[in-house]
Amino acid sequence: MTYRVGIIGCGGISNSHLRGYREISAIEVVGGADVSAEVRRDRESRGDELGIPRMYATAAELLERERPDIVSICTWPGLRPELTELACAAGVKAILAEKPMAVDLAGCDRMLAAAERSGTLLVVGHQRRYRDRYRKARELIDAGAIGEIVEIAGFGSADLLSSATHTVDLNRFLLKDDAAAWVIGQIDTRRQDRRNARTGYQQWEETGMRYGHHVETGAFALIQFRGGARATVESGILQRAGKGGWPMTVYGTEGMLEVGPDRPEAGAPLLRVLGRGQATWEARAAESTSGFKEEAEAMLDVLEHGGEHPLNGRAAREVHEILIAIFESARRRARIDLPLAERGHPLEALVAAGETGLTAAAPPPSPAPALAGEGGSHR
Amino acid sequence: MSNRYRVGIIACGNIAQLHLRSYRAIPAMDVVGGADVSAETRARWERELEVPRMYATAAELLERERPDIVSVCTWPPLRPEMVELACAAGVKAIVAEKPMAVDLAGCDRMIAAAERSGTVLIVHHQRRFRSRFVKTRELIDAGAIGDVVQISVYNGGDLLTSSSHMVDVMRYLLHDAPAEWVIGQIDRRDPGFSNRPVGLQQWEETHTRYGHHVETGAIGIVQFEGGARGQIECGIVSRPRPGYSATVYGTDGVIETSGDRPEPGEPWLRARLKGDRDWTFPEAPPNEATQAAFEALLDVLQEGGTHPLDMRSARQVHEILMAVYESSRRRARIDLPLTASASPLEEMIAAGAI
Repeated sequence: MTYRVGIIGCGGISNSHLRGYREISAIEVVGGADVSAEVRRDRESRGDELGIPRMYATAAELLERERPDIVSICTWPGLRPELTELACAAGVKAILAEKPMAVDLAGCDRMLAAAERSGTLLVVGHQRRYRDRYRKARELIDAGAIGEIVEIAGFGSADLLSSATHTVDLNRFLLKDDAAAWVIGQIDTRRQDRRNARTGYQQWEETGMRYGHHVETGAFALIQFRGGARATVESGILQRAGKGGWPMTVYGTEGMLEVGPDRPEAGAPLLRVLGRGQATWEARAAESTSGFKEEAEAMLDVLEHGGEHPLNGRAAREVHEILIAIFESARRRARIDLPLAERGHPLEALVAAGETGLTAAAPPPSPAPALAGEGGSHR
Repeated sequence: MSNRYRVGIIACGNIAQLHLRSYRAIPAMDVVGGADVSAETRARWERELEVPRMYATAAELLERERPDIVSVCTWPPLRPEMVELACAAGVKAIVAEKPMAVDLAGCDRMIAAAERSGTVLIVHHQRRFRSRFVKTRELIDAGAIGDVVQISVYNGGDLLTSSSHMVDVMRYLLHDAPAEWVIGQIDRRDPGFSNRPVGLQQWEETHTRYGHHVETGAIGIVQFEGGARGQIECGIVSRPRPGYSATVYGTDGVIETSGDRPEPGEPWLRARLKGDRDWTFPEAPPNEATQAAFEALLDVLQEGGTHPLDMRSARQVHEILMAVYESSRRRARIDLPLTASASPLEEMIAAGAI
């Protein structure tokens, strides 16, 4: 059968969805929705792989007129719960929601409840776990190449919700989706000196927000998983030199492996291992894939044959709980034992209480971006 | 060796016995007296430990014995005052127990006093003299694990009492590289202690250990100049590793150290060294670290130079510990130098913030 797909929110990240869907013959992108007339005109008129046949000003119109089987929700996260509820009520079979799942756990729970009520498959776009280099890393780990995992050091990203959400999902992937027992962490909220820009910073100068919510300027976290492994997350101004683009080092009882960043230096491997019985690092071949196509194919597989999607809404909620627990650790000055009772976003609570540097008077913008190593990509 | 040194010990609790034993192992050092508020302790030290003369106050000890060297083994809140007293009495050298003080204001009082009197002041972070860490640094310096990426250190207890040692060990392994910034977090859940030795004598009444507040768990990340990172793990968030153990992650290998008392059959060091196909167990026979620290002090007194546990080095350790608390207090990465001279932990508790 062919699945009719609609795309809600047709900004930058929807291009990844469009490119990935184009590679799947069972999928036809029939329409999209965007508030911007300019975006709607561009999508309808461009005629290339990023074009969309029919564009609507609202998600409601798209859902009613096109009756899609699947929708991608590529809006900023604050809108995700409402749009998921709308799509579920319209009877779509599956939703591919962008990450982060929502801003807070209350939002995640609204999405899960809506999907349960309508029997909709809800998938959250942590597609990086389908990338070849992480899959090969997991194969090496599963084959015992580095013994038992002791600690995973995840590097490099801008802020927790926008990008470390991938890091945490990748931790879970390498640990076979082990649950976290507790989280301790800290954030830094010094004001970022930047101008309005793409990748979520369009309203920075007016609101101090990215993608419609406040973001911290740097974060560190230690996550204790139930099976005994630990993971550390570093982002923003805590990022190490040369560690942008989601590289990861996995330390095991018998060796270690490194997953390279999105854009490795010339000649650097995407994956290398110093495993049991090896005298030196060995590079392992890995293709530079996006992971989106595999993520979408897995979604179709669940629709046709049942089963659980590895990136289902419940798994994504566990990722989000860990991220929120980092903020909660900063807010409460404590180790946060999961499950987390808090349903709001502790960073927004801190901002509202005037306890961050985010809302301080903005320094004059400088032409250079303040964050090192961010590299412009937020996918 | 021409000079002999008269040694006095101020406060004769548990740790003072290690000082006594170590001084007695060095021929040029004579422990001539001690001071303690407890009559029972004074009696025991005179009778059982055969210390010649015991006094009820540090002032009496200093006046009557005119020691060349004193150990200050009190709880940390008293340390600045005792150091000022000893410096004013003209001692040549002071071995202060760790943590150096409770807050940086205390450290600075001690440094100022020692500078005024020309006294050599060292802080007893003796673990950097332990053979397992000495051997680890030799391996690092020989390039056996490539460049140091991260040093993780583990201990139970709390930051001031225990992690002070391990932060000093981190600095030792990195040749005392300065720290650029620190970020961290603490946890102050009730540890369920009851009154007992090792500083918890007044726990039920005061919820303090060694006379100051403590946290139940802490994590701290330290960015050192040169690129290496330190990861301080303490109390309820520490990896389940022996107390005072460490892991050094390099670009081409790993070194793991044991704690102070390895299990039977457990090696002092376990390393995955560059070019090796498997773990090896570098030799690091146990040694008397405090004695080694005191012998180094003798060298400084006789030959000049700077002791590896010099007061300025110890203040840097203390600044890192304070910066972990300050990070928790301000919810921020703390760029050094730290401006707060009070303990941010005490401030948070006073403000009801934790």
